[in-house]
Amino acid sequence: MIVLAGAAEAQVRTPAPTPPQWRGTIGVSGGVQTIGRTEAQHFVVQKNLEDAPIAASLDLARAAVYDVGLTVMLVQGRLGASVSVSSASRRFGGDVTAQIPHPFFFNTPRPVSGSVARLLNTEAAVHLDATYELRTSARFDLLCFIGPSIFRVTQDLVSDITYTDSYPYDTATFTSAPTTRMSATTLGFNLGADLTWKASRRVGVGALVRYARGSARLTPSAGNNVSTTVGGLQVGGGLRFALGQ
Amino acid sequence: MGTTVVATSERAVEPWDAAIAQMSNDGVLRLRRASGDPLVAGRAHERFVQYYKGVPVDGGGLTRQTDRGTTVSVFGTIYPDIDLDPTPRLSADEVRVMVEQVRNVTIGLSRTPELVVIPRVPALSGLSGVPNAVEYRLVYRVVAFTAEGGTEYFIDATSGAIVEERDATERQSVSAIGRGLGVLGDDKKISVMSQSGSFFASDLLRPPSLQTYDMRGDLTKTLNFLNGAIPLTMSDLATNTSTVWNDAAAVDAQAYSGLVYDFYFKRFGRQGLDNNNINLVNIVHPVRRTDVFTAPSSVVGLFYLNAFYAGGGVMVYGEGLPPGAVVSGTNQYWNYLAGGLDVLAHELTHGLTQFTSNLIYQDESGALNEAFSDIIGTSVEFYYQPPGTGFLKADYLIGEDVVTPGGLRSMANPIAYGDPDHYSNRFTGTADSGGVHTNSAIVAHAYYLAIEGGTNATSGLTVSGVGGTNRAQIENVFYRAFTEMMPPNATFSVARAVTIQAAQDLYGVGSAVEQAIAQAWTAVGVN
Repeated sequence: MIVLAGAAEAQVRTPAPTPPQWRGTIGVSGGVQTIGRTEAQHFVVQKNLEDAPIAASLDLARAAVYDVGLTVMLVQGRLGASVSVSSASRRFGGDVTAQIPHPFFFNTPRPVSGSVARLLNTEAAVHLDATYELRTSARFDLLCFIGPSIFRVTQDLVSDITYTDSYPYDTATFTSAPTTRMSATTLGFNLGADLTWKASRRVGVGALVRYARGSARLTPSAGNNVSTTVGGLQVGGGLRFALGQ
Repeated sequence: MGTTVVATSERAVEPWDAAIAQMSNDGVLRLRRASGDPLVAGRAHERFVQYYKGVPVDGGGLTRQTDRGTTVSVFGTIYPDIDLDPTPRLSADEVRVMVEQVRNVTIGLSRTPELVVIPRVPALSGLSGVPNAVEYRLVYRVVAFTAEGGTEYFIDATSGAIVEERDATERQSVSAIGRGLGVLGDDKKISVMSQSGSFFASDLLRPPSLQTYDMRGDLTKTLNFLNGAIPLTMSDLATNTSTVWNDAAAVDAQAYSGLVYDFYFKRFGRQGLDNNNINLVNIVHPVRRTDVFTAPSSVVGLFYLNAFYAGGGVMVYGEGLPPGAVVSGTNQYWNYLAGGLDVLAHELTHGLTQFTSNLIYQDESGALNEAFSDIIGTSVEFYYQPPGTGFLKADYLIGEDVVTPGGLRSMANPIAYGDPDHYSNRFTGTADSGGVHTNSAIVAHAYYLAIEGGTNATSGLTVSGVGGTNRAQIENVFYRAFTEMMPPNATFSVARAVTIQAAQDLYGVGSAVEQAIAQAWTAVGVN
């Protein structure tokens, strides 16, 4: 009886649903790079036969981030690999000060100051990560990842200063700070986590947290070197699409 | 569209006074220049430039004439309806590269495109049925030169399109800053003109034309020019193929004449010798140094061992002596006269006197003429140089930097140079136009005593000077007296009365300044 009863019970129970195992995921996310930064420029240009020191303080606030990634889990186990491409961009501004040499006298600088606005900073990155599935359930996948990143940063930097003055030239007035758009490629790293809520067998919604970091050196002109950090804490969310269940 | 302003009545200018004040507060108008009127006493002129959110508006601005603070007239054009984003999408560098590619030229940093707002009238505007309208564009203005000439481009700061082109050929001569060692080896800047890869001693930064001509030792040509027989041309300008100049005399003449102009302007608000920015012409190398041993003594005395104001804003600076040669008797070496800041100021001030008091160059009025030149020459030294002894220091010696050792005259101790320090010892002969140089020392010594104080060696009278830190007060008194009130045939006694009156005008009756000046005149025996 006991066997029969067990068999009968087995007949009436519905088999527990097997969690959809997403062995591959395409994720599309949007978000923000939350950490801004201030960059300083110190360089000199020649004005009136003398060095004119220029200082700029550039205030790079948060940036919009877009991320597209492909994650593939190994057939067995929790390990996987992912490759993703992210892009962050922002407009920023800053303050510029300079000492403009006098046209008639040596060592008689005239201070000027002003601001720059709507400068551009973009950071494109390719992240190659090892992933580890921390937790999976019928509805949620939680992955963490870490790996190297290749950054391509493009940024406007102050390259000169223009001013107006008039006789007797004892003062000068800031007019503008011309900028130069510079680019550099650098290697960094990233790590983070991705939480996916599987809304259906093939589509889900995910939240992404990534910390990426690198550093680059931009040189608009000789002696005008700027060491800039790229990346930051990125928080976003978007859609997840399952591949090959 | 633009508002054209023509306001010449009290009723018409009144609202514009308020508008100018408001627009200035709002940053819409910026004062570019304010100057006195050299032709109509009490009048002054202001030139305002219109700005839109910090960007100058091409052609926008006002001029205002005032009469003792009351507005007489306002002219100009204001564009009140500008509405655009003053932030350019293109950077100045991007625009520069665009123009470089269009004209196949290289544009240096000194030609950085400048952001401006340009008002433009559409082609059909104003025709029948088409309203008058002005559209505004945020553009970069940049000038590019090619072999065919210069063009002023207005490049749209958003699209990069060429909005307008203007012929800039008349601007082919551009200002430049040169540097060079002066006669005493001191490194200094000079304002010059750049054209076709060469640099010419023509100052384009200061309000007047200020040029230095190199006569290359051609005395005949020099005389022909001074006599008005020939003009000097651009090929006669002192020139250099780089910004680093080699001709010390030309460097100092160009630099120092500019500094003297600046002193007049900054200290007294004066615009050049005639207060109307008359051209200043420096003549250097009127003769060759090597010819000094064969030159007639009159030529040596005028073109080697002298400097003089030739009238009409023309100064001639002597060539001095070859190294190692000295003047017998005094055993003094004479360097290029252009190397003495006080010498240049002295000669330029003769021009100032010509356009003001026009003191007759004979006897006491002539001595006053010479004294005023020494006074301003020394004032200029103290304005630019640190006090002290030796080269390039401010002191009360005349010509000490170029006539060595000792210089030509002393305002502090005239007796040491054989000049009188007291009226009772004045030269009464006929030589030197009645002792204009010799007797100038009496006046110059009074000036010295009024500042520094001290005891006159002859009279034994002591003067309480205003002190070196207050020297500007005495300078102002003598300037006012000698340029505004001194009659052309003034005597020393008249000069005393005029300077005391000037002191009272400026600093009050019984002021320390008036007392110092009165004491100084009394100490030198002028009552």
